[in-house]
Amino acid sequence: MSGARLQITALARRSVVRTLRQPGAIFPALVFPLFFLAVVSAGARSAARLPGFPADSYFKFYLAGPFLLGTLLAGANTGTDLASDVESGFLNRLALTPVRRLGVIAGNLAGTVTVGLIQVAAFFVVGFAFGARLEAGPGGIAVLVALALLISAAFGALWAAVGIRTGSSEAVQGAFPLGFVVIGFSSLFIPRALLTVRWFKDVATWNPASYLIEGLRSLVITGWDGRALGIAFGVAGGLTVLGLAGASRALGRRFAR
Amino acid sequence: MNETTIHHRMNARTYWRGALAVAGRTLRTTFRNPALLMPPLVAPLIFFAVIGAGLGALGKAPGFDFPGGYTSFSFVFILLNSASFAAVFAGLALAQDLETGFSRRLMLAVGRRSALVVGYALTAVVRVSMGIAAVFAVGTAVGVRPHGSAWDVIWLLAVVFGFGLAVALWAIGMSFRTRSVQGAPAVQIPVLMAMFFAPTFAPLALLSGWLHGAARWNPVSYLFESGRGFLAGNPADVGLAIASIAGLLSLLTVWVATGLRRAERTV
Repeated sequence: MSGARLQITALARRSVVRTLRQPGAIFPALVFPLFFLAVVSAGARSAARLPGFPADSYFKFYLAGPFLLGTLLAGANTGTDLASDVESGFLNRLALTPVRRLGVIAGNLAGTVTVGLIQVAAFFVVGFAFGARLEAGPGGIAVLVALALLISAAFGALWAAVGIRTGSSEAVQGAFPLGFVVIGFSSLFIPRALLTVRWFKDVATWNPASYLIEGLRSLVITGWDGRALGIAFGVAGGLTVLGLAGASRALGRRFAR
Repeated sequence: MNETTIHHRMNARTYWRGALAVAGRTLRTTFRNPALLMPPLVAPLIFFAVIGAGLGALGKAPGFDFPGGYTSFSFVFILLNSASFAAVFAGLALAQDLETGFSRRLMLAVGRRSALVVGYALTAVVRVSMGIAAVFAVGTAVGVRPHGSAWDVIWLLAVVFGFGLAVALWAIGMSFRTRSVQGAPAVQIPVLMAMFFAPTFAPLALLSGWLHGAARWNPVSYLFESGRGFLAGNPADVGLAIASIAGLLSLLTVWVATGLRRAERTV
């Protein structure tokens, strides 16, 4: 096994074990999105009767929401874990070894992606239990899982950048509501075409979160929509690269100290 | 004036002096720390933007008919949400004081320990007032207009303050039990659930399925319905709202009293 792969494997194992040993990190990332799925899909179900609404039920339309909220929560845990590593001095000790920066970050993302996988399974089970079916068919499941995991990696990398840069788990927790704000000002609740408030529609159009959710949603309510999926994968990939670059730069500064 | 009356008056004065000292000190701490002051003020305004604008299309759903449209409809939820946020934070101030040991010293200093509860409740009232003022200012700026009389607005405010006080009592009672800020989720989650198992996004009449059943049994639902009725100038479910607030305040007063007794045992 090459040096880089060995480093990533060792750090990934540590990250996965640490995540799985903290039910407090997994439980909210599963329960909160499901709670909002229950109350939002039941409370706003009359939206499905709007002319031009793209799905036959609001539950089906909103089902992509938990994936995005859940990955945001799981990503924030990565940021908190890395910030804790800064606080405890673990990263300083790691700096004394010949470890590569990208290896540290990629290894830590393994925990996020593991939680992402658990979330995808849980949300699928709940969705299917309540009668939702993918319009894209069984093949859509693989694509939805791949997109959800890429989004997990993107949020994980972005929060990792925040965690390493600030070096404070409190700062990560403090910045966390910003993530909710970004997701809230998107097409999470209503399709962009049906948004009635002009400024909100403009914000949602510029907001990358809208394209992530529309990609996930397209597999559930539309079928195979190459454009929506292409944009969603592009945005998720772009955010991952941006997050990795930011985290790598922040880590470089910490290692230089 | 006989000796007993003078004694009672001095006791009352000492009691209120203790309560006001606790309230003053907690408010000063809050105003000096923007991290404590801003979240309960700003978060409901963000919710207002997300729900009022993001779900605005619901105002065009068949059967939805609210004067002023969906923004006005969601305004009452935001008022109650703002009151609950402010009240929860005021209650958590007690949890922090209990955690650091400050409240323990306060308990030894005041004659009647319920003065502490009154002090933290007064803090909640001030913070709830600030939240309501902020939400009303933003609401007015985006076109929310009361369609009823001045009395309807006063009733609306009474409902919001009643709810804020109930949440404050809940938070104070829970803080006496957890005696730590770590217990914040135990304070916040039931409040969040009470607010969302209610006609949050659509009127009770438009809800169906399990949420309709849950909302009908949830006393907070009638605060939503009556508050919206007062805003629309068409009061509804007023008796149920008053009964809900009276019931909640009575139960939560017992909750706080038993919590205080439990905390006193640790002094």
